[in-house]
Amino acid sequence: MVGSAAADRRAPAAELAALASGDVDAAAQAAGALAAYPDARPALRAVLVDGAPGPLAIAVAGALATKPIAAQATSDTAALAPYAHHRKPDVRAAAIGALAKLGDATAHVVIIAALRDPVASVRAAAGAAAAKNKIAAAIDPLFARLAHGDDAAVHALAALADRALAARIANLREAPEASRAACLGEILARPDFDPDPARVEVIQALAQLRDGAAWSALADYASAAPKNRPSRKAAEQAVQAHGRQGGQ
Amino acid sequence: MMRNVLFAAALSLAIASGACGGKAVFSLSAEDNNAAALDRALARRALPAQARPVNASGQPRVFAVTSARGIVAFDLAGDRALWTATADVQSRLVVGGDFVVAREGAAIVARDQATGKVRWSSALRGELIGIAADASRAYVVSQAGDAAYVVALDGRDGATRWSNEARGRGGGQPALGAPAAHGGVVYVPYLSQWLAILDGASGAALTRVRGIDEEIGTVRATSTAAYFGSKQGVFRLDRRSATGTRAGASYRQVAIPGELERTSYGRDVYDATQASYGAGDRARVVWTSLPTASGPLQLDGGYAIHYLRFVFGFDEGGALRWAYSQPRVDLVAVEDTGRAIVGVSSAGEVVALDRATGAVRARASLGRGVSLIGAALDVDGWAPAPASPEGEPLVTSLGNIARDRDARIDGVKQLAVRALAERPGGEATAALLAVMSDERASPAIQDLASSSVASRRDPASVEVLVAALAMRDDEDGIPKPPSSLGVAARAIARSATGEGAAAIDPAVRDRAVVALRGYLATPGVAVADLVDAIAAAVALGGPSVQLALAAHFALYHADDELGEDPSWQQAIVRALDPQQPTSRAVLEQAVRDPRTQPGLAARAKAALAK
Repeated sequence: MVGSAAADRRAPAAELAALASGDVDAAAQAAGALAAYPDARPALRAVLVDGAPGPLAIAVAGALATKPIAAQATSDTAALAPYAHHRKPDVRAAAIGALAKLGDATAHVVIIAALRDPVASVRAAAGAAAAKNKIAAAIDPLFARLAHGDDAAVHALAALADRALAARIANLREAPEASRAACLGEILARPDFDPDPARVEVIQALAQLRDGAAWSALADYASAAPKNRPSRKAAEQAVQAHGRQGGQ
Repeated sequence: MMRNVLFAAALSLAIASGACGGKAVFSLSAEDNNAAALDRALARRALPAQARPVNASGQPRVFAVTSARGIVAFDLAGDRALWTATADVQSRLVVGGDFVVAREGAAIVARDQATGKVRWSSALRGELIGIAADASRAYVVSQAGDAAYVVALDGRDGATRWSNEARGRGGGQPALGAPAAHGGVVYVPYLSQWLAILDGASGAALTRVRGIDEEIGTVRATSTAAYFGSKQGVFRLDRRSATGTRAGASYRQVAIPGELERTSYGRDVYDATQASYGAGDRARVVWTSLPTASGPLQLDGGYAIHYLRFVFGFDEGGALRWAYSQPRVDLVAVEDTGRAIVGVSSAGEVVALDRATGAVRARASLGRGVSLIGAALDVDGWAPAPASPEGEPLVTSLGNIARDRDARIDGVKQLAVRALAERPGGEATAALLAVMSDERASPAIQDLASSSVASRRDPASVEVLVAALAMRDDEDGIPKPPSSLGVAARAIARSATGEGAAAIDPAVRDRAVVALRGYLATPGVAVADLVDAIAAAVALGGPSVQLALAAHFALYHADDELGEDPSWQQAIVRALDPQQPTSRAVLEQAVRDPRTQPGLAARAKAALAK
């Protein structure tokens, strides 16, 4: 276990030696231990640049993302980026997660490309990364993915959405209703989604959908939102109207 | 071979029994292969100077047998139906001067060619072997017991003008084969070895030709020439036929692609079942020839093969020139008029093809809703409308055939794929790639197309191959490597290293490198395809390739999956040039790195030692 004071100490030689050893498990463990040592970052990057087997690459990616140093973000990103295209999905997902935490703009292209990764878990990591870094250039690709009903896009767009984006989601007819309902439901559940008239618009959009997720989201909101909000009243009315029409 | 054995046995039996023809027209001991007699017999023929239909009007006509027990007569020159008749046709239709004749029910029936009305009917003795006709008579060969008969019936009234009998085959095999006739003479195959030439008016034997090198199992007469032969080849009947040999006569074996193995030069004249239309009529060589005084039979501008729905045009040397595909249904009969290839489909569509290009020169329909089982095409010499400038490009035709939906014709599709494979150029490559990726193609056809592409060495195709490298979105919008990746990469590698590789457009080369480099960093690429992509990138060369390969090598040298794969190890180490600093550096690093996969470290070390 490395204490918070590690930032002020030199990286342990034993851990650095283990990082360079042929024992992959020991090297991976050492990478984790070196995460808190700023002076270990070059060694961690070197592992990636020289070519690391999957488990070690994942550990190093995690280590680099643990306490990012803004001044080294571009170097870290350059070392990590090739692993975002690795043949192993868990390596790609780890690399993208780390890139997101590093927050360097040079990683945006890699993250956007990963939105179309063949493996859903990698796409999910890319979607989360796009949302975390608020990558504007990812929005259109995310809409393209939403049109295919990709859950990664559902969550990412829900996290990114403002009022205009929510309206665009509501109107994306080519997307499956279930995906739109889930996405709008997540937007409605966001405490930071403002102003209230925007929530009313989302509620109205959800009320147009037949998917069960839409009514679950409305019901949840109607029961949980502050009572004085007009949007709560709108949600209650929508749920009641739905019940009168035989909905559940 | 089997036929020859049977023939020898039958001949021995005949000789042992001392059998002979009823009028001594057909006997084992009569003179044969007499050049002078053959000259005289051929000179008796009243043949037109130019090829023309047999019918008295001289107009091209089709007489077709329908599956609904009927006959349809059609005038191609006037593009009009002449008549239809209900008829229980049990044989091929044969066209005479002003009549058509066939077995109807149990009798031989002639109909007026102008009206379709029954003109006469004549009892059939035994089993029908075949019918022929010239302008004025019908000639019927039949078999009853051990006796075979050839009977001449007057086209006007059906009166028997003469009859000859032959014995001696035994074992149920007919002694006489289905005849052919023109210009007042009749050709009657006898015991598989002879072609007897009889006077059509009297039935007298004029002479006979004996096959020495091969049996005589088929015979065909056009308005101006006669042919005989076997499954092996065909002779044009002329004075040199008296040699009886392939070398001495006007003889030819055309090249028949192995995929069209059922193709023959004509019906088996001794097979009674072929007295009627059948599958064999849909697999024929069609040709015309020019008279020659020496040398082999000279084809008149090549030949064609009719095979089910298809007609393939070949030059004299057997090189495929064109291909025609009849939509949906088989062609039931095809003839070479000398000026066009004419066919009629089972749906009653007549099509005339240019002999040189396969371009469609004319189409006609015998009527809506007709279903034909066979037809007599009396079209000799017919030249339909002037040829369109060019037919469909052969590559296009072959590509369409290879991707045809008809599951019965994999042999024809294989022929098309092989023919495409023999043709250089991007269009042929694109057609092969399309076959490869056609989900409805059979695995065998896809595999053949795939191996054909992979073995191409064609710099002119690299642009098309580069296009085939492009990623494709699946139904979920996720880009996937194309199924053609490995194959296209192999073809690029071959084309970039073979003769003429320098001719590859530099811009195309650059695009290829970019695409191949991309696959080094694309998840989901099969190892085999990756290996091919590496080889192709190396073949194309350039500094950016070594940099990309070095980065790829570094990323996976310690990987426990790709890094362990022997095929990848071999490909990537072979691809890295130790003379290039970056490549050398990664090889050296791999040798030093304790995490490098052991086999790869050894290979890297060996590469550096060279």
